[in-house]
Amino acid sequence: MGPERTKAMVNSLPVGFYWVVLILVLLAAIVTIPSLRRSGGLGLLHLGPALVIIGGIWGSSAGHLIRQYVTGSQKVPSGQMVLLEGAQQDQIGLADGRAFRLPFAVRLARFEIQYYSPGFITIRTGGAEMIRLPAVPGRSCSIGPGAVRLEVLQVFENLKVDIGSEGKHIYDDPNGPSNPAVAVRLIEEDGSARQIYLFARYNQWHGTSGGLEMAYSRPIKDFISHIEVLQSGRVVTSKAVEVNRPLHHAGYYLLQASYGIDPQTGRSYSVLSVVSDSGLWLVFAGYGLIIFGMVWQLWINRIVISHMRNKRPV
Amino acid sequence: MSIKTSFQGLLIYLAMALYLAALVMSILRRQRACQRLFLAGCISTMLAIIYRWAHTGHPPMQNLFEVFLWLGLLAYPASLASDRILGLSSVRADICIGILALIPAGLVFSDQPQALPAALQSPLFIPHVAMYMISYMFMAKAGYWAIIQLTSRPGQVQTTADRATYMTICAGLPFMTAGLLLGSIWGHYAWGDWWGWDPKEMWSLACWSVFLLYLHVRSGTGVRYPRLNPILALTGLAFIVITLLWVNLSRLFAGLHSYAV
Repeated sequence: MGPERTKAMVNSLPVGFYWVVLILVLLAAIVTIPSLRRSGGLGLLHLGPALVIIGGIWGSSAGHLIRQYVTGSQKVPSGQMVLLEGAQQDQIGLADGRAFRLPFAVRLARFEIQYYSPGFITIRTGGAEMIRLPAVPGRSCSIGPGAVRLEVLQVFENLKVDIGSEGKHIYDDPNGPSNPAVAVRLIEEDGSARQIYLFARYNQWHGTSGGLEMAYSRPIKDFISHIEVLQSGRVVTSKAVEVNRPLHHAGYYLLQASYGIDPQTGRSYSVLSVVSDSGLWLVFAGYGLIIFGMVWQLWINRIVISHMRNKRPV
Repeated sequence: MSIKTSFQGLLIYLAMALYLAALVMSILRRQRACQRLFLAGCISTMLAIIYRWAHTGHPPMQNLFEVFLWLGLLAYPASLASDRILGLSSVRADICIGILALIPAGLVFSDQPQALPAALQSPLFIPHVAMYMISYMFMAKAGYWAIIQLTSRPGQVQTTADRATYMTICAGLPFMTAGLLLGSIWGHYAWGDWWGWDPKEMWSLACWSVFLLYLHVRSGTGVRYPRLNPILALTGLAFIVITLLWVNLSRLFAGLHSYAV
């Protein structure tokens, strides 16, 4: 069972009933079992999970729906926003296909992909031999039964080709959309040499040559959306949103989810997850109680006191 | 099978040899030599980790090769902590756990360095994995005591083993809890979900629940059912093995933690 199906199941009505019963059992245990009240650590260990479940219900789809019905709150649990570089958007797509208008707009000022350096050229021979060569100018290797030699000539951040009356002019253009590539020279056994280009954007085995297949790849280090949040047309906050560093604004977290390149325009686009913060602080408070209770009960009450009394437990 | 001929590999094999020599010294009742060799094996493993860290440029906690390397390192400090703080001496078992942890690192898993994906570049990466590694080491030690408890006849040895299992689980469970909760907080900041019902998360929760069940059963029934407590402790250890190996390696459990292979 995948995470999506499991999530749907634990959010279903019968399992929702189970969560409510579990909260009541945990709270009833604190009230009715004297040892849970006497020992602070044990009490916290039972109150913590109850808070986590209450926070989970509060932040769930059902929790949002109930609050919408009772208080008229206009908040959704989560959605996704697709932003083209330079564009502005105030709507998110919900899981059921509907669109929802946020109380603020988001503009993607710039989208940035950071790569690990150097990239790698992967070479595969018919005999299933696999070689990884760092894409550093001057590096070389011999491959295949015919002992073909491959030399790295030049690495391009953004390879561009101008075709003019004097022929092709290939150069590295620091401006414009990124087109990372590498130029390599293949020297055959008979000494004949030719130059080919491998492109990181086309991560297929595209540099096919005489039984050799080659690909140039640059492992992605990070992808960053430089965004601005606008309210009534005015920028109220801005942040470089990247994986693990979301933006928190107006009850929502904006997280870097994915990215891509629009095939029509060649412009980058970023996919942001927009997630409600409802119930989150209850969950984290519950976590605090659980860990504090566990340290109190198992380390201080059981181990430290026993150690300090110099009563070796065994 | 992945034999390593690098300097890092040689350090791992040296650590395995030193641990083995420490075990032999322990059997020969030369405790001082045993402790020194055990420490030397730990230092050799630590050097392999430092070398790995410098070579990859990021904390070596990304894949199973690196995780087992850490477990091999932790065998000695966990043994020392058990002896000094809990008053539990099980040096032969601790050395065996260290060797068992280094075998997959030295002979099974590939040491091919991998680029650290964006999701793992978090301040919570080191504490989350470290908490789990320390807890796994304590739970492995608890498993040893549970086997002693299960295989001994009622009497002093069984009572001693029962208390040792309990105290070791008491030492390890807060680490496991911290690992679980830090992972959940990290999940919120990385994916926007503090609980994603991913297979690795589910199995981690199952592990934690089994040890909680152990504490509840032991507190509720005491020694009335002498075999139930050690069986629960061993079930928890089996769940850890499943979480660490099967969930990571099997294609059956596709999820957000696939980079851990």
